[in-house]
Amino acid sequence: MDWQDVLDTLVRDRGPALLRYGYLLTGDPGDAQELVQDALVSVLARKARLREPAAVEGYVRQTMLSSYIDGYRRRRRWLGLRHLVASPEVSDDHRHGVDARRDVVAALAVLAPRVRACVVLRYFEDLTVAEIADRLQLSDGTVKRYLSDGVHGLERVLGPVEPAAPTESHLITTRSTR
Amino acid sequence: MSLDLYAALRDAAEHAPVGTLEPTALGRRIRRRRATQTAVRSAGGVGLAGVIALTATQTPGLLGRFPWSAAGGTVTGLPADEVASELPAADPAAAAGACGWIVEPPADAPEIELGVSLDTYQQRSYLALPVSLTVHVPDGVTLQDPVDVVVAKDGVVVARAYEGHDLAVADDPGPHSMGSWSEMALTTCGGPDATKALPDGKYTMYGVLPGADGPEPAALSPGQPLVVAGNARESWCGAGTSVIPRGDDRVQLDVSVLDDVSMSLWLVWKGDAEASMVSERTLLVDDETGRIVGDSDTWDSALGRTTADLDPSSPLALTPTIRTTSCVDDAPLPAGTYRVYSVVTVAPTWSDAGEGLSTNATGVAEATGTVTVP
Repeated sequence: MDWQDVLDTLVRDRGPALLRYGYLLTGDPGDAQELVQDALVSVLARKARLREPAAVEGYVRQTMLSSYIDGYRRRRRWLGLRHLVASPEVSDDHRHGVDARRDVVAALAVLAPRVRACVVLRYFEDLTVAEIADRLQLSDGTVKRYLSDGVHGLERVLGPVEPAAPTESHLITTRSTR
Repeated sequence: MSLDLYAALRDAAEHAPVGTLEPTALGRRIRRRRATQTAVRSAGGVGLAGVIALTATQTPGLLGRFPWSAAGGTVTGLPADEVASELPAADPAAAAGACGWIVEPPADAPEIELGVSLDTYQQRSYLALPVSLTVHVPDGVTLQDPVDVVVAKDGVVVARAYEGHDLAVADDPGPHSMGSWSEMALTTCGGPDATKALPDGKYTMYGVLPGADGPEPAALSPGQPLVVAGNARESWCGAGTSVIPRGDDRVQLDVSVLDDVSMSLWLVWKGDAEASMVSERTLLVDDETGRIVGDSDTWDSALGRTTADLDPSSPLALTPTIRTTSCVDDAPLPAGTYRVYSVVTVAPTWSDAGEGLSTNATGVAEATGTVTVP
């Protein structure tokens, strides 16, 4: 399988998943496209010996993560503030769903890049604290702190969040908002 | 009812309007990149020269040429020939936000309100200054032009951010309240010493929404004082509490330490119109030496920035986190007792500014209670 076959396979089979991952990291469809495309170009332009799409996808995801944390923050980071506190009393189910999704994405936007990355990796990618620490080159304790900060940041906008899976039950509470 | 964050993120991702990837265009980019790499490897020294030229083009002035500088570390400044001795001159014809623009507020009440504040200390070079911008777009108004962040000396723009803050909401009328983070160059934007570092001194930072090709802006933020020392933002780490400015009477703060990791902060804005809280900064002072040893502006931005809309006389309650780590190297503070100060920056709206240029209002309070590190 040459790089063009790998690219075609990745785009066809894993493209939507990569874009969704990019969207949760950046909060913007255009930025997600850019993040995924740049990562694919970066990895496939240099990883000449990689032939397995699954392995390439791993590199692409790691590149997306690094690019997001190191680069995106330096460009610009817009975040909605006022609409974060949209009223939850919406009678229409569809509209409620749309608003809820928008609120979740907007709530993510108030988090700092590393904190947001930890939340996405934990709650979307289902990684353990140790795996997140490895991906982000952080200590386990720092990841726990970031996750705690992230969940509390989201709670300020979204209301109470269900406790994480049992492996994370030792998360410490460091702040709250009245 | 509690939110299932796993399900909420999956739902948001599933419904994200992300489109699809286009493999043909991607393939072209990859082929070009591979071809370029091959050429650089073949050309040897020629390739290196190309990289240097590209870097100089993409990083204005001196940015990126100097080593990492911790906020608490010793900032020694730059060689004299890298520092501007002459700042850009005032240009009465300059468009709003341009280099040399003589800062002036809009003649009439602007529809859009801007606020700027200093963000965390720079960590990668002397000259890249992290700044935060808040933008309030009222109901029915559409913002189409980028917002500039500029630094002025004696009312004349002498430095500008790398690029305007481009709101991607051009076709989406307000109401919006948004925040943005970016870096701006502490280098001169023009004049005979263009791109050299700003000399030490007192400056004022503004957010500017340019008007229609003239010197009058469509919107202007209150000014944020900026002190440059050692060609970087002045550090309070290690200084005595005298560096903390006197608080503005319009910002009433009531702060108390809740425990060793958090505090309670009540803020009441006593202005006449709405305002925005654009930053909250927590300082830890060694009770024995009276020196600032902890500063949330050095905290790796892990907590993000706290901003809020303020209604006159309506209290805002926050519970900022306290971290007992050193502002020098982020190491745990030694055992001892530490006093806590809170410094809150509020951007008043245009209608609160009165005549002329306005500045951010600063609220300062020492917390009741102390933090003890065992």
